[in-house]
Amino acid sequence: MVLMAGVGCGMAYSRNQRMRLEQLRQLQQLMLLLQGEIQYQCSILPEAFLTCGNQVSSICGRWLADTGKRLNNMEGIPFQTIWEQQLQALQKETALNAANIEDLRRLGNQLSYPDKETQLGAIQLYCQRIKQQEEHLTGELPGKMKLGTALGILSSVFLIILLI
Amino acid sequence: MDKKQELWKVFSLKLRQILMNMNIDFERLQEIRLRVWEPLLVIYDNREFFVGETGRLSTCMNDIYRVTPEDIRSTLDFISRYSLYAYEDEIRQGFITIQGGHRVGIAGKVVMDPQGIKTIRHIAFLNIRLSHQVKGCGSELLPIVRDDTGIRHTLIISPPRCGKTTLLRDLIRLLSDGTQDWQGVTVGVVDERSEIGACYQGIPQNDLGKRTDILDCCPKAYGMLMLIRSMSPVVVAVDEIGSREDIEAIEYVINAGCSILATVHGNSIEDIRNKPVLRRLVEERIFERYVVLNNKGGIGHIERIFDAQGNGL
Repeated sequence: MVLMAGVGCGMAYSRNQRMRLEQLRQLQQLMLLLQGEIQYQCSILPEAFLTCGNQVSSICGRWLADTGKRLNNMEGIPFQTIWEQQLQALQKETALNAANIEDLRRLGNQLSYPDKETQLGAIQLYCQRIKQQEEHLTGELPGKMKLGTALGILSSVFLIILLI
Repeated sequence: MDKKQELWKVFSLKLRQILMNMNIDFERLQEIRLRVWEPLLVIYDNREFFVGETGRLSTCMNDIYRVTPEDIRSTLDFISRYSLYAYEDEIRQGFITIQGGHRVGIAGKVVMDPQGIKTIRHIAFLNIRLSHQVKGCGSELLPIVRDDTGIRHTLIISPPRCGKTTLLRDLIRLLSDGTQDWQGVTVGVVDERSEIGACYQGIPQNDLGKRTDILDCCPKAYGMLMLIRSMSPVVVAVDEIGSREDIEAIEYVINAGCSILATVHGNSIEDIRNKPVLRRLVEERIFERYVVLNNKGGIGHIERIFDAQGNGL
C-alpha cells in the first residue's frame, strides 16, 4: 500500500507538470486571440475576454470568460481588484505555479492602460514569457516525469524500510 | 434594467450613491458635470443645481459634494468599460457616447502630433449629457416635412441643448412608422456618434420605427453613400452636419432621388450663411425646409420655419 501511495504521488506530480504545460499553451492561445480582438476588432476588454474565453473551451478559457462577465457587470470595482480576485480563483483551480500567476498579475497591471499600443505591447511581452516557459518546461518535462515517478517509488521504498 | 439604473452604473461607487439618492424626475435631468475638486453639478429642468453628499439639490454652496480625482478616474473606467484604448477616435473628438445614447464630453490635457489631436490625457472634466427619447415631439413638424409632394429636404438648425437630435429622432420614427392614412417609408440613418439610435451591440435602444436601417458609428459622408448603394432608403437622416465631405454626400443623396433630414449647430439661417462650408446649402437652395429651434418655450421649441428661399412659413 505504501509503495502504491508513493507511486501515486509520483504520478500525480508528473500529471501536474503535464497539466501546467497544457494550461500555459491555453493561455498562449487566449492571448493571441485577445491580441486580435483588441487590434482588429477594437473590442472593449470585457467583450474581448468573453469572446476569446468562449472560443477556448478549457479551464483557462472559462476563467477569462468569467473575468469578462464580471467586468461587464460594472460592479463598481476597479479592474485591478477584479483581476486579482480572478487570479486567486485561477490559482486554486489550475496547475499554474506562483511564477505563472505573477506573470498574469503583471499583465493585468498593464491591461488597464488607456492606449492600444501599450495593451498590445503588454500582451506580446506576456506571450514571449509564456513561450519561454513553455519551451523550458517542454524540454524538462520527460526528465521531470521520470524523476517524479522514480522519487515516488524510492520514497515509498524508503518508508517501507523505515517501517520494517 | 431601466435607463436610469443603466446610467448610474457608469459612475464611481461614491457618485452612484449620491446620484441614486437624488429625488428627481429622471426625464428632466439634462446634464451631470464632474470637475476635479469642484462641486458636483446637475442641469435639471434647464436650471443648474449643486448636489450634496445626501443627494439633495441646492442652489447655494452650503451642502455640496466635491468631485475627487478618484471619482473621475473610476467613472472613466466604467464609461470606457476599462478600455479607453477602444475610444481613441472618440477621445480625439472630445466625447464618448455610452450605452443609452448619452454623450460624455471630456476635457484635460490635449496631446498633439503633426496630424492634429492625438489624445487627451489627465482627464479632469466630464460632462454627461443625457439623451431622452421624447415620442411625439416631431408630430407638430411632420406636416411641414411631409406633404402631398413627398418628403421635403429638411435642415433643423439649433444651438446645443435645444433638442435637435431629439426632434430628428422622432421625425425618423414618425416617417418610418407612418400612420393609418399613409404608409411609412424606408429611412436610412447614419448615426456617427450613436446618439440617434443609441445602438448597443448593433441593436437600437431608441425606437426609430419599423422601416429604419442604421449605420452605427459610421462617418456621415461614407455612411450616406453606403446607404444609398446598399439599403435603398427613401429618406436619409444624419445629425450635426458640418464638413465639406458631408455637404458633398448630401448632394449625392439628393441627386440619387432620396430625401434628406439633417441637423446643424446654429441660431438662424444667417448663421448657416456665414459658415463657409455650409453657405452653399442655403445659396443653392438644397434644403426645402429650415426649422430653427430654441429652448425659450422648453427644449425642442420651434422658433421659426422657413422655405428654400428663406421665407417664413
